Amino acid sequence: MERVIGIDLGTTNSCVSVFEGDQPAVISNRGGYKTTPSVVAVTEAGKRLVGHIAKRQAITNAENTVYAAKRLIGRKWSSPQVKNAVLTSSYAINEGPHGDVRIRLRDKTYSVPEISSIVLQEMKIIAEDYLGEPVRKAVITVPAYFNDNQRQATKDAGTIAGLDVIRIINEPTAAALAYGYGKDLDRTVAVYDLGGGTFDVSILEIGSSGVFKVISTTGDTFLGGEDFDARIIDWLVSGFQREHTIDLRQDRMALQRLRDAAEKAKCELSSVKETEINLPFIISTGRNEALHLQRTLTRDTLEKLTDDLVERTVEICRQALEDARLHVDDIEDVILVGGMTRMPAVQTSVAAFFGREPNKSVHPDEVVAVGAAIQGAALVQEKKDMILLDVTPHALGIMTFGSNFEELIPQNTTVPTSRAKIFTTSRDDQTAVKILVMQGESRQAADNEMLGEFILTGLRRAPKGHVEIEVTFEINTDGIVSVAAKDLDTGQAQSIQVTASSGLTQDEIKAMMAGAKDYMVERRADEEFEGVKQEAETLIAEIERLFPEIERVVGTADFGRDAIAKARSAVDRARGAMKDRDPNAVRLQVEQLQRTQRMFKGVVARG
Amino acid sequence: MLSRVDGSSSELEIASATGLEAAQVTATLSRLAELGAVRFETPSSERPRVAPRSSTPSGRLTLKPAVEAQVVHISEHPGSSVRYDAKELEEAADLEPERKRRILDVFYRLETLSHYEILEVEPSADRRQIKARYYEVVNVFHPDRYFGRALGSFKPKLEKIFQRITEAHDILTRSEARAEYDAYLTRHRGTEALHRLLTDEQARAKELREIEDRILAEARIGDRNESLRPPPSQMAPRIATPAPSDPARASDPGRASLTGEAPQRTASDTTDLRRRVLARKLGGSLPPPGARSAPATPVAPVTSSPETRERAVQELKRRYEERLLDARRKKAEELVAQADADLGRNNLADAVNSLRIATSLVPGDDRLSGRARELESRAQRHLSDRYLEQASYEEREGRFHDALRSYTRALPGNPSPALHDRIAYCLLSVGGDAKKAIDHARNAVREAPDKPAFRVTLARAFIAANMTESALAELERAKTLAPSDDTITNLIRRLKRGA
Repeated sequence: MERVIGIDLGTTNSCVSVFEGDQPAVISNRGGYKTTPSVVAVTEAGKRLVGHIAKRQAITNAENTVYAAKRLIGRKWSSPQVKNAVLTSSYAINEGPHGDVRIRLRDKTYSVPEISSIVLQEMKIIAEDYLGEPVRKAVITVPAYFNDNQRQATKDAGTIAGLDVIRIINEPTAAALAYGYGKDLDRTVAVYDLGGGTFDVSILEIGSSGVFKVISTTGDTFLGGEDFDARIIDWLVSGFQREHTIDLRQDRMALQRLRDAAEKAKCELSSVKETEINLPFIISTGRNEALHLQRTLTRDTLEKLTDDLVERTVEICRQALEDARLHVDDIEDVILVGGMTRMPAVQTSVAAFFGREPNKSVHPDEVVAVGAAIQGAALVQEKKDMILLDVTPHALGIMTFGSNFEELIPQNTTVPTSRAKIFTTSRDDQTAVKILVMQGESRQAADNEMLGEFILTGLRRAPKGHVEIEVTFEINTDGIVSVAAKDLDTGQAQSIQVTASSGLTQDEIKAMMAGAKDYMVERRADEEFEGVKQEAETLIAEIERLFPEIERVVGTADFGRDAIAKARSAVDRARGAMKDRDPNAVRLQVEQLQRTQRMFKGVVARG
Repeated sequence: MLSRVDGSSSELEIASATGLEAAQVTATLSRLAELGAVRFETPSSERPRVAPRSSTPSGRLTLKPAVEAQVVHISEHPGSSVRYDAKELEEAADLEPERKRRILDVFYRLETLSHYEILEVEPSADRRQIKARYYEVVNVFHPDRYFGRALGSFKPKLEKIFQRITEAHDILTRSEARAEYDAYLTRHRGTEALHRLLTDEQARAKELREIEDRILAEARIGDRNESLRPPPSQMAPRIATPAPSDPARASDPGRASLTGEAPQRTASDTTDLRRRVLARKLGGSLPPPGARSAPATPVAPVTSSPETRERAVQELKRRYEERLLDARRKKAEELVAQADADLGRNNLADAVNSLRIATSLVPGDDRLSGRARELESRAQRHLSDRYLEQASYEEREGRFHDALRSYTRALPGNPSPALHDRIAYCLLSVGGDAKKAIDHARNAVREAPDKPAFRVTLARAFIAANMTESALAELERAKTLAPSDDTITNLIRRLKRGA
């Protein structure tokens, strides 16, 4: 059985898990952490950094450090969310060739899936290092409320990272899997998932025979921990402005320091009542005078600053229950997921709404990756003990006459599914009809997400309304949407597989895959070079330590002078090879150095 | 019919092979079973819930089919019938043969099974039971069960089945939706019942016999009372004839025919029975009619003269028949009142039934029979309309099999060319009998020769029967009727290219 890893690709942190034996295990990265920051940076030297190292250098390299790429993935350049991100991001966001979003780091432009692929690749490496074998297959999670374009973009990111993404699953659903797996429960649960950037609520029924059935899911893809941080930053910035009449936002480095401080303060306030925010030398005035930022933030203040955000999550919970046609009393357990659920105000609001203490048995940061690993294992193993029945988070339909959106598959329909509807022509003698496939809840087509389009031709000429066209939507188990249109009179039919667009063409994805592969080779070579380099340096240090002793013992003899000269040149050659970053040359010199060291040691021992 | 019973054919298949009504087949089969000529297998334990009714004798027809508490969908689609091509089992898919069989079996009945039947639960099952059952079947039919296996055409089939069982689950586990669905099933049963009522003479004959028996029995009791209280105008003729004490015994011959082979009793039968009962009353003095011999009853000693006796006998006979007639009239009136009440409740089926029986009870009443006929044609039209509604709904939903059935049933009440056209169209859509399709399409064209659409259907039927020449000719005729219709032009072009 081929191993499948489960990756929680988060807005702020990512996590990877794999099924071992009969239990899922969360894999730590090299630093020993179970989660890795979803941060990507490019250094001045053009070196690519991911995770903790990238996060650590963010302050000094803010313009070339990408945070929260997930907020941009699969979105169009023209979307309000991107417009907003352009204003608040420390890195440069540009328009791509397909109306998509590109990020500029140093002298190179990256697509958003490419940035995410760098994080995914890192998670893949973490898993490979742990397992000691190559990993190919993965289940990746996305917020339940992601639309098909965002899902496709995430899948593309996986492909670029060299992963075969066997399934994309929803984060709250994954959490429920981890919560209920192997427990033979029979209950209705709510999953409250407040992550770094997104918020989801899902209502599920966990039934006998290992069936997990999602009843409803809803959320907000732009509501998460980052928004809480932003409130703290606003508070700090406006306070500073009042005091010094200086806008800290104008300084990217200051902004990055504020961001870090805000996040840290927010986390601390989950366990203490107040915390000190101390940022010395945050900015200098025009007169070269350094200013410091120092403020005390209390839990009460934080709660006041963010109470509308928490209230919004509660509203969404209400919506999810309504969509599920359930009452609060029907919910038998509430599962909290995401780092933000550590906030006491969130916990009390959730408890108050559902009328019960939320369950804290799952790890809010790791549970999603664990669920992904469980689903991965359940799919590939022969004995399948779990079936996940998820729903479409958004309605699917087509645009009809007058730019109206006509829904075919409603929100919260269990997939796989298919629906058909009959439409008629809107003009006399209309011989062709354009089918615009859309996703969303608005009656106005323009407010919804475009997924694709195709044209049905060869309609018979007839007065308007006389030609009947049957449009069939189908979503299969793998989440692939296909749409077929058929002229009921002539039998003329046309169909497409709607490949939601990540904003990338297949060729671009291929090129990016090749780039990622090159990077992998480079990175592995780098690691190898670092290894031999370290070895060479140790040897050189040892040899140089021995030089005086050797001089003393054999320095007077001809052969001794000779040996010393040889040793010196070996050391020089090794240094040269290291300077050239040529691992093979260094390896060659290492052998020479080892001989020299052996000889020196022998001489010292005898003499 | 016995020659068609082969151990695997369903009742429906036998019906179609012999050209008999399904109900007749069922009745005859149960009769044969009573006689020991055939034996019904007990339902196999493998699928105990899906089609128990198809294998249990259902020859006992209920008195009022309209209130029959059974799911009707399946009655015409017995679970035992194989509806797929055996070749489909041979498709190279990574599935056990048993699994393949189960998938195909369910897949081809998706449109005919009710939500209860597809989940294999009783209509009385509660929410919990339905959920538990759903989880079980999900584990069989969800494509993820077979992830990584080559499923070929079985994958979309599994997805369709899954969708269908999920729909059933979603509806049956929400009380509101379930109530609506149950109401739909009841409505559907209504048309079924009405249909049966209008076509099933047997059930009515039985009901009529039961009423007749009751009237006769009552008349006998009346007779006994009468004999104790002499009519005022006359000396009491002491007839010591012991009235048959057991009414059941008296009507034994009738009873026998109830369960017997000859299901229908003709008018002469009824007269005959009346005569026989009368004969028994009068104790041997009336010659037994026909070949049948009335049970011999001892003749009591008689004191009066033969003339008086004869008069008395005549008088008794007259009164007895009068009483019978009164009873019939009374019953008929009751039935008419009942029919009116049924009509008031919009229960056309029962109203028609009552009126028909009333007519049989009082054969000479023209007003009554006229009313019955009027109501019957109204019921027929009503049924036809309901079927049309049902059919167009089914056709729109792509359930062509159901639509075909409903259109066919709508036909007697509304034999329009458009209906023939739809039947032909549905036949073609389900890949049914092309000859039948041609017949129906021809019918439509004959009656509405200027409708190009009907001609196109006929042409399609010709194409289905590989009669290209006729199809072309038909299309050319259609083209002259509708020269600008691209469909026709395209079809002609395609046909010519193909030829």
